[in-house]
Amino acid sequence: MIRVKKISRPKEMTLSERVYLLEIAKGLSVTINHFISNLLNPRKIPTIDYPDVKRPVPARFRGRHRLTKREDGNPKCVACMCCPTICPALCITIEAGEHPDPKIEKYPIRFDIDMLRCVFCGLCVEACPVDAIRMDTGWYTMPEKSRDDLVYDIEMLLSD
Amino acid sequence: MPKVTLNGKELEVEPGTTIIEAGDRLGIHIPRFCYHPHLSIDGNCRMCLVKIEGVQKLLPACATYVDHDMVVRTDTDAVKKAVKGVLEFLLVHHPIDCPICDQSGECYLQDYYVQFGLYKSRFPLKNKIHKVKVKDVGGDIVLDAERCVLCTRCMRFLREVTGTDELNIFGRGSHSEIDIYKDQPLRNRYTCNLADICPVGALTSKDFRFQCRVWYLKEGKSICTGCATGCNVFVHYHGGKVWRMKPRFNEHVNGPWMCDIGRFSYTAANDDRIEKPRSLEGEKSVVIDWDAAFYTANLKIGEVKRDFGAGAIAVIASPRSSNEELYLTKKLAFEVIGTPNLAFTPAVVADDYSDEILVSKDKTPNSRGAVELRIGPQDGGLDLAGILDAARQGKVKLLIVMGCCLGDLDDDGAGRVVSAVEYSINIAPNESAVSQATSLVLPSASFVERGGTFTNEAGRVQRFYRMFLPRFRAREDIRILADLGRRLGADWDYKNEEAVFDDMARSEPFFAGLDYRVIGENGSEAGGR
Amino acid sequence: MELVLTKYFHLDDYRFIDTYVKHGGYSALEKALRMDTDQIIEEVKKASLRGRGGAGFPAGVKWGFMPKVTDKPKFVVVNADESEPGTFKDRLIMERGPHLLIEGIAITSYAVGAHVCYIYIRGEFVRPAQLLETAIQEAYEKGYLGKDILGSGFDLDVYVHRGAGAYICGEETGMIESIEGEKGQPRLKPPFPAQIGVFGAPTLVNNVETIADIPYIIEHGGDAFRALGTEKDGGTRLYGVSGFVNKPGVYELPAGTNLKSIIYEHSGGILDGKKLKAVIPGGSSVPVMKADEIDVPADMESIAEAGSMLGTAGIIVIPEGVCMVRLLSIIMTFYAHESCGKCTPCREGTEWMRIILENIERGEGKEGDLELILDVCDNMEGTTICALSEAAVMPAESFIGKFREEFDYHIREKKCLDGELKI
Repeated sequence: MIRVKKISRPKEMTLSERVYLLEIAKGLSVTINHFISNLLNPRKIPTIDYPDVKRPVPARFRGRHRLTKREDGNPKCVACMCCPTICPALCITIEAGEHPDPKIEKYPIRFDIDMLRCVFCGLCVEACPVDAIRMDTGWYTMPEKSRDDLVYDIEMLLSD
Repeated sequence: MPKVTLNGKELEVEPGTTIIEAGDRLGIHIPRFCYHPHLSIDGNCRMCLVKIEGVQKLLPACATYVDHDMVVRTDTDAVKKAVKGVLEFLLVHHPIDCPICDQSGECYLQDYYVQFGLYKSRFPLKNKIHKVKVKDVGGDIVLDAERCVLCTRCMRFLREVTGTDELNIFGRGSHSEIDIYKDQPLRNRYTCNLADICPVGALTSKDFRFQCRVWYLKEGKSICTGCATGCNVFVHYHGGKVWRMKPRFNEHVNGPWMCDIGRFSYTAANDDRIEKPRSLEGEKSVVIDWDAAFYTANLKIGEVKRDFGAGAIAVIASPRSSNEELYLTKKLAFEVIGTPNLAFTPAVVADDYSDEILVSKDKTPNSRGAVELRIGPQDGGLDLAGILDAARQGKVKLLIVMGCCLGDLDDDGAGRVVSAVEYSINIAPNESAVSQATSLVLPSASFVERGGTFTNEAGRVQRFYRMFLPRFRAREDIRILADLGRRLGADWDYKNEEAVFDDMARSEPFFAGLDYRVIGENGSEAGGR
Repeated sequence: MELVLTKYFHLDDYRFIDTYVKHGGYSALEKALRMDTDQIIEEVKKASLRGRGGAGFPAGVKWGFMPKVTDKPKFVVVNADESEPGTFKDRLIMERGPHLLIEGIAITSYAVGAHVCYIYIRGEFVRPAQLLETAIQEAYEKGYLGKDILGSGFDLDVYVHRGAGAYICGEETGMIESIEGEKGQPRLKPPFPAQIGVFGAPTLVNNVETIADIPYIIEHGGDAFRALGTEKDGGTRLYGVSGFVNKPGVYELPAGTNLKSIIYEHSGGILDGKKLKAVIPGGSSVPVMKADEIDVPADMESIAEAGSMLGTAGIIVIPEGVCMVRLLSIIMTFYAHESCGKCTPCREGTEWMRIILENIERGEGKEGDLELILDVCDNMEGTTICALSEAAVMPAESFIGKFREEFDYHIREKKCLDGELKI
């Protein structure tokens, strides 16, 4: 159901509002207040020295993807193609191969994520039946020098 | 005639019809594993139990014949509970393999679980019985006995269709396991059908293993180009590539099956394709655009005609071309170029295997069409052997080759013949010794990138359909031939293969009376029959 | 009291043809060969002879199903695959009076027009099979089998086919598959064996005891045979009593003898003076009866009214001190092992029940396990081709139904409520 809330618009500007100078002084006072309180109490300043300091991200923050590993170091991923199927940005490319261990059977030879296309929706994580892909790295900046470098391959995704 | 009332819908059927068949006709799907319309009835899976009014026990719909005024229900609580119960039994020892199982997405167990199951597992994981996994049983088949529901479809197929009987059930009770006899792998040419009829992921195809998830695949109707039998097939494609072929039922040709040899013929649409028109300049091959290609071809044909006469030009057609393409090739040779030298490569034998079931000796899809269209020399022109001889002696000045083969010559021989000719044009979808040696190569479309008709060896004209646009810069053969003809001065107005077919039906007695639009799913018998 | 089968079984050489003929053997065959085949079938129908293999189908009616006119050969198959736990009556006939069986076979084959008979004997019956072979050899030599039997122009060949040890081959279609050389798995019915049986030809399958009753019926008439038992279940029966009784063994008694008297009078009562807890009246596949339910006549109808089945009349006597959980677990292990694996519910259901029962017995039972077993039973019942799944379901349901407190105690306390006797 759609709810509608009615907001009343201010009718007419008052005299003090129409005289601009007074309002400007009011605005500047806010700035000056902040300036003085920050000067006297620098610890309360909300800005941080990014990128030397980074904000802690919440636990469920969706950062860069990573692939998880089995106990023996093999990727957990079984190349079931659920994540490229669900991906709305079509940024995941998987090529499956036959693993020598018959207990594993299928594993990804190639697992590329095109970070330039990724929209960080997290659906790949939801779709994964074996908890192989996670977005819990907390890493949200991915500067690279070329577009090709932003297609992350399986080694990169498994590295942490 | 017996009449059955199934879930309130009435249907009259001929005597000897089972309830499951009646259900299929009425559009009521009765769940099944072991029932297959083209195999004998075994009745072991017990999934198709239905309630028949007046009978206390639930009876299997696959093995119960419709009797007079039978009232059957598939939606009573007892039936639903029984079906759910059977499904639960089938799943107690089933591995949770869906993520890595190729059948996933077309698996009866998955479908029925969503439709009838949706219960919580009541069986402890530690008690699951483990059986053999990932076993190469020969042919194109990988066996996973854990996924098997022991429906015995595969056993019955091998017993009743191929007669080779390689698979059997070993063990008893819940330790029953499907397997081959020791050191006796599958030894028939129809193994891929096992992967098709297996309702679960127990028997899967090695060729298709881990290649593509089935939910990506789109389906198109086509004709197998592997041999002259002309089996009806579904082509499964995705992303401009063909991933597999499956048989399409046609009672007049292949029934519900197809052979492995034909099944793997799809690779021609993917691999070794000629990508762009190119011209041989000296030793170097130069990519050119289509306009330039036609211009060159026109120029060369004109030059040869002027200097040596049309008799110095020879055309070799391909039995891999459709009827329409062959017809147009003939018209091009006789009417437009005016040469009497026309031949086609008869049966191309790559694999001399043939059998009584489906595989023909002739490994090309349209030899019969070429014969019926009388593709051959006219007025004392040269036949295939004559053309090849003349070419070797340098008497043929311009050779137009359709397709990848020159008679039964090997790569070396074909290359030498083509090199001996002053100027040659090859119109083909795939690279070959011929395309490597020809002066002008024009890439044509594969069998999934164009439409048309093939005539199988029994004389049945069957349509194949275009599924996607020609890849790379290839063009449909009809378009190439028509454009070439127009350049050479013909007043052709063929927009597509349909127009060519109409023309052909008017002028060729074998195709008389056929209509491109009416050739149905199952094809039409040609030749006035 | 008139004994039909075991009258001369105390004679050691009764199994040889000379002694058998001396005591009136093969006279019924001579009489039958002079009779009209319809007349023989009529006598058998009059006798109210019920099949002795467990299901109790009237033998005369079954014979009547055999087609009179057919372009195929007809077969008689004798079911000697006696594998039901608690049943051992057929072995006695084959060991002590094999000629009774052979004479019965000759009459039966003549009546239904079969010229070949297979005796399908269970693989473990080595000695009975040897004795039968010897007896058949004797019968051939004396002209009771083979070409032109007793100058009547009737030919009959009898073959002993030894099984390889599968309970399911006692099921008639499973037996037919096994005779044909296939894996012993039941076939879909219909078509019934009387239409399509061994090698696609009409086939009559009967139990050893049923066939062995035939000579008496021919000799003395169907009415005389019926008069021995009850109206609907004629003649005498071989009751095999086993378990904790003083005198276990096979007793030939009129059908309809009181079950309690079979146990307490004929078999000498319970071993060591213990109290009776339960009785399985017809081999392991039938519902169990509690001690206070057994005062009933032991014939097909009466036992069915009492909520169980007479089956093969293999009476298993269970005294107090036997843990019913352990007993059911043993029974279920048998069915899980013997399920042929063809139909899904039986293949998976028997194994599943075995696992649950084993867990309960080991003390790993959970709340809700009994409901789970009963639900599995419900899903198995009536959903398979043959009766093996019912054979597993009936004891399971009746054991849990009638001795629930023992099962609950086992799950709760992880030990037996009443189980000092080791089984």
